[in-house]
Amino acid sequence: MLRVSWKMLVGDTAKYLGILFSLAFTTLLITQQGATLLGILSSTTSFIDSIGGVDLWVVDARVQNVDDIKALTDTQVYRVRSVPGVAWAVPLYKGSIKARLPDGTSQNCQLIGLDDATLIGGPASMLSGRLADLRNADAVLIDEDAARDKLARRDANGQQQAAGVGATFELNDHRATVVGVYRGQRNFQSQPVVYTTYNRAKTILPNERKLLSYILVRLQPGADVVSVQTLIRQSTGLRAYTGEEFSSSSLAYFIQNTGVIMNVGLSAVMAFVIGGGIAGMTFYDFMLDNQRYFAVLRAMGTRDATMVGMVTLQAAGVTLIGFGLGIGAGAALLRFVLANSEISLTLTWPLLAAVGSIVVLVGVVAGTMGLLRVLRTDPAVVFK
Amino acid sequence: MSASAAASSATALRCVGVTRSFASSAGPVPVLRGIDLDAREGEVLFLVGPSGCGKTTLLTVIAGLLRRDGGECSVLGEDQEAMDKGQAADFRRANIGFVFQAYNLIPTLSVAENVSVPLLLNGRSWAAARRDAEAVLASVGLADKADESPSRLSGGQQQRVAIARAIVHAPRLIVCDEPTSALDHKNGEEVMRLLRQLAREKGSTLVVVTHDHRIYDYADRIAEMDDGRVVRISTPAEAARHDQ
Amino acid sequence: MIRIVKTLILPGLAVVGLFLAGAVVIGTGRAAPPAQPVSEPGASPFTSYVSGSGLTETPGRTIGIAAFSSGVVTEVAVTAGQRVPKDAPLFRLDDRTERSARDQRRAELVSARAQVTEAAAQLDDYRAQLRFAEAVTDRRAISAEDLSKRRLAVRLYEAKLATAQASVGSAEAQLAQAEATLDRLIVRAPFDATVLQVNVRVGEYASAAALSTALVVLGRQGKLQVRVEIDENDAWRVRPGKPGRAYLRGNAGLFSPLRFVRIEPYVVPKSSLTGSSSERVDTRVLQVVMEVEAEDLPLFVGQILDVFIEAEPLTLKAASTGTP
Repeated sequence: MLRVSWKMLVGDTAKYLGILFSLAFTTLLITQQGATLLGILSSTTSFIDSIGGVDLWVVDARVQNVDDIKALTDTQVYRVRSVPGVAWAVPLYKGSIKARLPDGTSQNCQLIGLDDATLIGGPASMLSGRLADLRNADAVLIDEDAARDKLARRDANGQQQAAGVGATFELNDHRATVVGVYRGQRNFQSQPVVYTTYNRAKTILPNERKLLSYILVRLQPGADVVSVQTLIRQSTGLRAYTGEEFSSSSLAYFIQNTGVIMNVGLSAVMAFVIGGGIAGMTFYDFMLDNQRYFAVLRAMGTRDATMVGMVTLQAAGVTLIGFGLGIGAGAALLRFVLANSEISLTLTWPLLAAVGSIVVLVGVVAGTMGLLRVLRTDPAVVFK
Repeated sequence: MSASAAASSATALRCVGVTRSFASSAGPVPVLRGIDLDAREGEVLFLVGPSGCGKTTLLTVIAGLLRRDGGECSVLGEDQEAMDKGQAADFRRANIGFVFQAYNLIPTLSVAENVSVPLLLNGRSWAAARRDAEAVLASVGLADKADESPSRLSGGQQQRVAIARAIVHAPRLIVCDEPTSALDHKNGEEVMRLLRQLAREKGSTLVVVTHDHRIYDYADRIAEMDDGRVVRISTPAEAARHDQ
Repeated sequence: MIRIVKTLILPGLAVVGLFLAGAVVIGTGRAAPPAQPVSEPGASPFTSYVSGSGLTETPGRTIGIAAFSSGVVTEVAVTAGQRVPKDAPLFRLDDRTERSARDQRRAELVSARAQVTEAAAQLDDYRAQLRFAEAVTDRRAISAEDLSKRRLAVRLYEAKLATAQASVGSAEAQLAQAEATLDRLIVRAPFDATVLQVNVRVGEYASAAALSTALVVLGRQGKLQVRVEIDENDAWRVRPGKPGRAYLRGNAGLFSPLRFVRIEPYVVPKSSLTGSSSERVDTRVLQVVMEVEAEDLPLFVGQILDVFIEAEPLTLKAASTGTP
């Protein structure tokens, strides 16, 4: 009888396609909105997440998020290094600076200063050049997107020339030579991210007493994270976050202090209401249309359990196919159409699961309402 | 069930003092005022009478789809009201076939699939059901329409499909509600002829609600109803005489 | 046709869509592995320690050699890296004026000595005349006046001789001074040393003032020392006599044990070595001088090392009374 029930649904081409496409469209919209949201959120913490092999991020006690930099003095690195349980601690500078290109245009950049000796925190995926080349004079690394666009130079014909190894520009009147191009995650502002060494960053930057943004800490094997955090807090007055803590703290700060969740969330909810509403209504409409035939089936002796199974199959079927179509379209959109856009979009398993749950919710609600309609119908109507 | 059905093999249907009323704003309106009626196995029994006399209500009660207020009604020796919902559904599935005035063929299924439904409900495999359905379709002369959509058939053909569906699982009782009223004379007669013939072959009892005088000849007995009561039970010949 | 679309293609597409979504997730989920450090930082070998940056220096710090007087350099006798014995000349200033002054003094000495000879000769003459006159007993032959004159003449010439002799002493002293002045134009190594820096070249003007960049920088020979700067907040944990370990930056495989030498008792402001024209005062630091024990470390004077020194355990009052 399940086959009968499926044929009943598929046989009604208009409604079948209507349900499928409204579900697919809902899925697509929610996926797109969700991916945008995730993309934005992950870009706020991508800096933290992209630096691996670090157990603790030590920052000023009042720092709540990664972009809220309260500079430390250089000796704090040694103080943190003196805390038992700390295997090593290295400085990291993060700030913004204006780059002046040879053609005279200027561009705001993020400047990252890595520990001179170890270059810990450097980009992982180098497209050209080597991380160690940062030790060369005036050396900087730039990201792929910036090389192609924002830090590209216009030649005499007005053509954009991608900046490669050897390109130069000025950072605060200091010459910077590109020694490598890396592939990095997009940041929220879509600014070029320029890597150099910590001491060179200090030289480049205007004089300030404190310039140290973060201290990156690796613990000794077997050291207890919490007790080291407490020790750092007590001995230096600084706050030590684990990578995840810092990431989630930054995320929470971002969510609480910006309207991004509200805006994108609202779009997603609207997509859900409209798409889900249309899908649910169409399905319910289908149930109403077939109410008479379900009554006939019941008169002919179909048990309620079988009816439940039939309606469930229909609801589950359209839900799955609609979800599959929508998520496929969404994935294709993200992968092939928006892959190189400025918008950061991220598709993750939890997002897939969430979108799936939402679509399943639509299916369950529509199916349940349809089922109630069917089960409440008096089979005696068949003679009317 | 089969044991008790065998014990009362002679009687397929027995109604004694069946009453039923419907609620209305002016209080309960009695529709059945004490029906006494029975049918032998294999008999073709017509319920006739003016509109609103309660014959469709009686048919609904007989089919087990409507509870009666009083009296007794047993089909094949079983009282469906004594069963729970599931058992009643099982009983209908196995023993009762339905033919409706409006055919009620599922439009999104093919003709053969529509006919297969009772078999599928009774647990037959898709292929076996299809085979049996095609055999029955052949006997109603629609073998070539098996894969058509019901909506592409004429009214007479649709009702023949409905008959095939009602009879395909050889139910002991077939209830028919105005099977010919939507058809012209020729088709109506054809439908009735097929219905009677197949019921005979399968040994099913036919209870037919109709007010189509033209098909009275196909009945074994005709129960005339008026105002919630059976006023007369006669043979077609007697009925014809009486009408004149 | 539409039947195929409905029953096969759409569900098929849905399945494809699910797989595509999965593939995209896996594709994006595969985040790039974190970059491996170019070199791991060195880790402390002690359970309880303080950490600081250490500046490599020669024993007794480095010595910036100054010129005694200002002048133009005419010769540089050493090159950086060279070992020099005590008193070896390092560089020479223009000495023409001083050389002629000395020659003049030398001439004056000769002249003074000649005058002594002259005075002595005259004295001898007058003495002889006096002796002759005194030997004459006949008072008529030599008048008393004449005798008196001769005696006075002897006394006068005795004084002249003394004056001439004093002039010789003075001329000698002046010559010695002129020679010393000349010699001071040659700047010499005050002890056995290694030349670390030569910041002066022939033709340059060397000033006798205290310079921020010394003309020549010397280091005493012997094992290198490390001046470790410990943040004042951690200063209480440092105890004399504790061992340490120094890591070369950029290669944690290169390290040396350190032997305690002394603690500089005066806590100084830390200067950050940015190379910037204006040094920034950061915080105050305790300086601990340690000796590098490894012989074969490719270590240069002036290099910054990451240093760990064994120290008092970090026990905090707050830790015992519970976290606030």
